[in-house]
Amino acid sequence: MTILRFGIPHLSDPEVRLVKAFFRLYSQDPTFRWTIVEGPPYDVLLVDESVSEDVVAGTVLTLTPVKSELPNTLERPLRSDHLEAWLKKAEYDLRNARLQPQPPEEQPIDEQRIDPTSSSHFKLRRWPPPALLGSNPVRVRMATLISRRALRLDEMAAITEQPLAECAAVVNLLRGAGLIEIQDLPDKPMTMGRAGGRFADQSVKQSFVSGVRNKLGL
Amino acid sequence: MKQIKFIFTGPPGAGKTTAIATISEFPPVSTDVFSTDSLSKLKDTTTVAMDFGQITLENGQKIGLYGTPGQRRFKFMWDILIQGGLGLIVLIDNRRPEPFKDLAMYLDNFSEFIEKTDAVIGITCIDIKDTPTLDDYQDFLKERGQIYPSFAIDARNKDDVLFLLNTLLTCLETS
Amino acid sequence: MKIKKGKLAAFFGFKSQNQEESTEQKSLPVTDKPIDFGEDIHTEQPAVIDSAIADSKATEPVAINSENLLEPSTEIEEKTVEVEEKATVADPLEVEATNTEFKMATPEPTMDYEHEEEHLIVNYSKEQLAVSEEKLEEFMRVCPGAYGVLISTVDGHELLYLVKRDIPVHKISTMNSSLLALGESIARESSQKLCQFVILENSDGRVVSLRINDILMLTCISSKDTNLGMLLSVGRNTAGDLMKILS
Repeated sequence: MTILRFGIPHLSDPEVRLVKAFFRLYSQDPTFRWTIVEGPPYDVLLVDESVSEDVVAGTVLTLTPVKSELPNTLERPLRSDHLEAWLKKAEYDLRNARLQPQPPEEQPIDEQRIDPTSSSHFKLRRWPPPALLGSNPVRVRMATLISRRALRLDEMAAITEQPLAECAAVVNLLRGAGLIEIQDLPDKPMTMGRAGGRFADQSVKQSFVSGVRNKLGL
Repeated sequence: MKQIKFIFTGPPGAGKTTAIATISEFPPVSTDVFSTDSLSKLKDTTTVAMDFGQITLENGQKIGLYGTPGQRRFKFMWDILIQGGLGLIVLIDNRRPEPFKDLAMYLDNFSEFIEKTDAVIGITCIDIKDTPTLDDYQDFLKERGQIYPSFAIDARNKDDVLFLLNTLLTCLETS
Repeated sequence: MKIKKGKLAAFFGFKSQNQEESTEQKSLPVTDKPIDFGEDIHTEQPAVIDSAIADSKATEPVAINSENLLEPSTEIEEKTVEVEEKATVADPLEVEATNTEFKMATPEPTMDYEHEEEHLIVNYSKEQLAVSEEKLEEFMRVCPGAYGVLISTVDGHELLYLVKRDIPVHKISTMNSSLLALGESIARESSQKLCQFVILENSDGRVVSLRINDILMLTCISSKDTNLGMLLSVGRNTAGDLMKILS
């Protein structure tokens, strides 16, 4: 699953709030792939028509005062249904574009994707926006784990009992939003639990956590 | 068997009592009394000592769910209630005038406890007042050099409260 | 005798901001500084007055119009009156002064967010407070070992108090509100009815808390010079009288 990056750095505060509110609504749909990001790269950048500076984005969506027949424009005031329809079309176009054979010079982008066999440690820099995680408990759990300590994919897989590929997918999702810090730490056996903590050892802790989850039906 | 507790804290009206009632296996013991200050504009009663609910695991282990009084003048109760605590659930009412200030106050006052355990944040009433957004909260926490799992929740919704608790358990798995 | 008397924030609709100003009037150090309360915004106490026990017949101890005081624009108003030593005290060590300046300052209301919850909604007339004050004085006279009696709200705001020692009345009000609420909860959980008293029996004294009505409670603090029965009885009578006065 690929997250699509939507940028609104040039908009006024009221419009930024409006767009964020729309995105919160859209994120109720589990198939919604877009997230608002703070910095480039953008898949789509939403700008006012007065913005003339060069913008780095796959597509620029322009807000106009009146309805325009030009492609990639939306009239003000911005409407939720119009924006959502445009995003769905843009997502379709982007997906198709990505399915096309990539020219050789774009290969490094693929190489940046985290492979399930990666031995790097991943640490979350900032808690992800709701649109990124939704209410998916697996994603939330993985994000929580790497928000607390840098973990390898195999460590994440062991704790969450998820396939390595799923862990890599979540890390790639978060990394795409610029939220992942990659740490090349020396390999050592995973140890968890703080000295002097409430639990005597890891097994007791795991047993307790499992017990609470079972009781609560989690 | 050691007593194990989860602590719910946050400003008055954020939903601590409700959240505990939502998941406790018995109606929680509360120490609510009439509000006699400006809080009464928001709610008639306030917790002055604690809320207490409970979950019993299959092996007989009892998990206490303790809610603190919200007002800072009851900090002496906070210090008592966190003893034996396993983690902190901070509930923030988005309708309050300065929710970031509220969040900072609870994170600061419980910092030693959080350092030893962990914390998650639930933002309530974001459906009533949509700013600040969850992203704004994360920006605020990032400025403070902190990352806490944060979610918009409805304290009356059992799934929401359990989701918070589950995330706290995940924090404990790695902490 | 040195007795601190606190006038109620509720009377003013807010709490004292000029604590420093009022404490300057005191000859005894006060332990108003909170312990372990962090930056507790609620540690400021209502106007605290050092004086001998005010003559209960000093019908106008303070020239304050409570209605005006609730207006944010109200300016600080002060009035000084002479009061006379009146009460009997058991502990001669506590006796210190006779005629002491009786001074009360009216604080400006605070409207900022941090103090928002300080604005009490309960509001009593100065007549009600004056009569209540007489009841507190009477309690102190009748219980020779008593060195503190406080009327506070059930959510922990002190309203009116009389103390002979430097005790943190704000903290005691707050903690006793928790204690009384816990006592009432324990009584309920134990299938018992109305919690009448919460009693702390200590090696050198007792603290008894009881309700006055739905929103007010009374805390009586005494050395062992007053026996428990006496303390409970007088405390209950005082609370009953206050219930009528402050209804």
